[in-house]
Amino acid sequence: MKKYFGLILVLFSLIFILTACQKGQQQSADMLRFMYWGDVQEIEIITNLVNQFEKDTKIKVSAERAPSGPPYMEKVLTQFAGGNPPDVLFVEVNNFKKFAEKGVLEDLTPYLEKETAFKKKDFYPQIIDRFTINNSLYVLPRDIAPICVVYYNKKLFDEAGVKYPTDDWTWADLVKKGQKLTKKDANGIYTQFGFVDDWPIWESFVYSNGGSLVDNVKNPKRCTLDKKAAIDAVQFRADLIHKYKISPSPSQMTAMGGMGTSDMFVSGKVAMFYSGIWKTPLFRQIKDFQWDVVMFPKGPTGIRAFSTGGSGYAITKGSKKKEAAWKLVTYLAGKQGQIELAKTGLAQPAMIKIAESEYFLDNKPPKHKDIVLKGVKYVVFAPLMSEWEEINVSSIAPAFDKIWSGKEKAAKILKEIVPEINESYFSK
Amino acid sequence: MAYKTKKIKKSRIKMSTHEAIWGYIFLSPWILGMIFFTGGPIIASLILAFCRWDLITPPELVGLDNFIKIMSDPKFWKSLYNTFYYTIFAVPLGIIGSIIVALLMNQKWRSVRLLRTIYYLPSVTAGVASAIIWMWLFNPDFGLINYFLGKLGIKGPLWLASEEWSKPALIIMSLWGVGGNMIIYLAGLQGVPSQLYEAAEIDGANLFQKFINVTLPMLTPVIFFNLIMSIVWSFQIFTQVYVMTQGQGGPADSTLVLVLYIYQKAFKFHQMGYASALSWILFIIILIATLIQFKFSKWVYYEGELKK
Repeated sequence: MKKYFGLILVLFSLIFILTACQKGQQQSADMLRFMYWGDVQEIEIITNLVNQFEKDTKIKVSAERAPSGPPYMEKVLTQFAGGNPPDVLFVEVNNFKKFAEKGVLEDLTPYLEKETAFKKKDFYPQIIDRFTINNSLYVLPRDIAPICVVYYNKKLFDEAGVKYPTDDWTWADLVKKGQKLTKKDANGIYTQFGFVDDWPIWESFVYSNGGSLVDNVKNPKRCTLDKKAAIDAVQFRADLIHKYKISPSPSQMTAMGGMGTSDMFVSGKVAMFYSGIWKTPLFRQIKDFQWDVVMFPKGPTGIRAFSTGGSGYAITKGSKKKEAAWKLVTYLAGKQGQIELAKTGLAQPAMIKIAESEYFLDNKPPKHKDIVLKGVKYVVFAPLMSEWEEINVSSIAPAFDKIWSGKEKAAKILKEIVPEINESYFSK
Repeated sequence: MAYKTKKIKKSRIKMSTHEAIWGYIFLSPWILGMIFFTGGPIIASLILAFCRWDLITPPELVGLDNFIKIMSDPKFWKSLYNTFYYTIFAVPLGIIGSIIVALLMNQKWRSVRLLRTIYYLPSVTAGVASAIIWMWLFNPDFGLINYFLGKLGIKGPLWLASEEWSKPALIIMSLWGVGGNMIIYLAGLQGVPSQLYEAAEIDGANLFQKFINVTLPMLTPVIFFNLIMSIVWSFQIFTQVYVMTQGQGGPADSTLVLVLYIYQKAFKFHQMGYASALSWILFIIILIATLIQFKFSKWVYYEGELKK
């Protein structure tokens, strides 16, 4: 036995290599390839639409899904790197720049002009504009996601005797209401907070204080976060934690034991929760209390503005089946696709008529869901540059950690990092 | 008679080649794996280190550009500092810790086998799972660590949520893995011939003297091996940090280690060339660290070697 042991080992390693080299799934060359991300409900919608498309056109589709964020980008970019990009690609308002500026996306303008089922004007002009570079539309929008939704727990408001917020409220009202809704126990440990955002959504504070991230969103040449309006706004978000004490600090969040901010809202540990409309399906499962939504408050000078998301479908320039690809895109982002999406409550359809229809405004909670329709007017997109994510993750986030923890003032940090950002990314 | 000598001689030669062949056979899974799975990527990354590549458009040769940029990249220096900080504390503490545990586990107690298993268990636990357990232990309000500190009348720090304590937290966590090295020391301890202890006892050595003059010198080859391996591993720390900081290296970059930075550059910002250059710098650092250790390895005593 001992004699053959080595031989067995060698054999084993050979088998290992051979099986690993074998291709997992065979895709035939005439298949239309489509990459997307999405949660369980979205998978179902997309699978149904793709099946319908296959039945109608007799064209086979290979739809591949990856988890959103870096894993999705990794998978898509690996296919590009391997010289085998998909025909149709799901993108969102920020990562699409990465593809668009490399010239790998097809200009959809001529396709849309020929389309009979819908027209360009059927979509929110804001999202169309975002996906347009030099008069070329690169992405057919599926949804727009104004981050303007403050969810609030009616029960906690009633208990504290605080009036529900209305759309014309301001930052000062947020603080006032928040303070009445924040509670501590006998040991001084917070048991309930007034307000929390889904993640540090400091951009919305900057916008509604009249500040900006860069000089020109569509063609950024300078970072403008060192202007007073921006500094004050970032400081205000930190003040919600350390001065007014209505929001949990990062360490208090850690102390929640891995509880996310939306879990805090669901379990009644925070009265107001700021995010986008996509939390609706999750919150509809809440049994213990009534809740509603209100628009993100206006800044001190009455300015209303907030950050936004959104997504859509693109066709790659290298695709050999562009007509079929466009057809698939019209199934996904066309009326049927948008109606199905609207019904889930996950996202606000990019087609105005469908967003305003009963498919989206469906008498289910929240009562004031229509704020997101009104909100579209006030959205501000993130700077349209592929490096913005790096600036955000590498330069801004670590520096802002020091502001959120209360260690440093916004003025000091921003005066420090903005020149560095301008030097490293905008000096060309 | 003549025939017999010849045969012995022949088989002796065969013995050494035989051993070599067996050696390579045992190494073959790793060598083959290296050639087939990592060999290509290693060569590719060396070429990419001199390119700019965003994965979408073909790589573009930029010469030493990446390396020049790295030298003036504050994030690189910060991540290098964090990595060194971690290594300088985690490696010696780990070695001392695992020797102590190995000495304890080398006693002839009744339940010592069970204890050995318990100490070894963390080494076979998935890194992600143990990182999550430690996040709970480090929880500032409900975590066990601050609970016990509180019992002693000490107000525990914020650990992972604090810039000052996040690296010490990682170092403390690394001590959890002493069991893996303990096994190697244990084997080393059991290889110390008992006649050496007997001789020392006859000379009137006490327990401490026996440890310093017999055990420790006999263990030096194992310590040397562990030192090299520990330094290599700790330079490559990634999983724990990635899990505990959600891939951010926060708060305020205080846990941004070199491999995490490479990951961010490659898979978040899609600068494959820059990331490859960073990996090769890491490789060179580890190589130099290892060469230095070999250079100063006079303290290692190999049995059978004459003491000079």
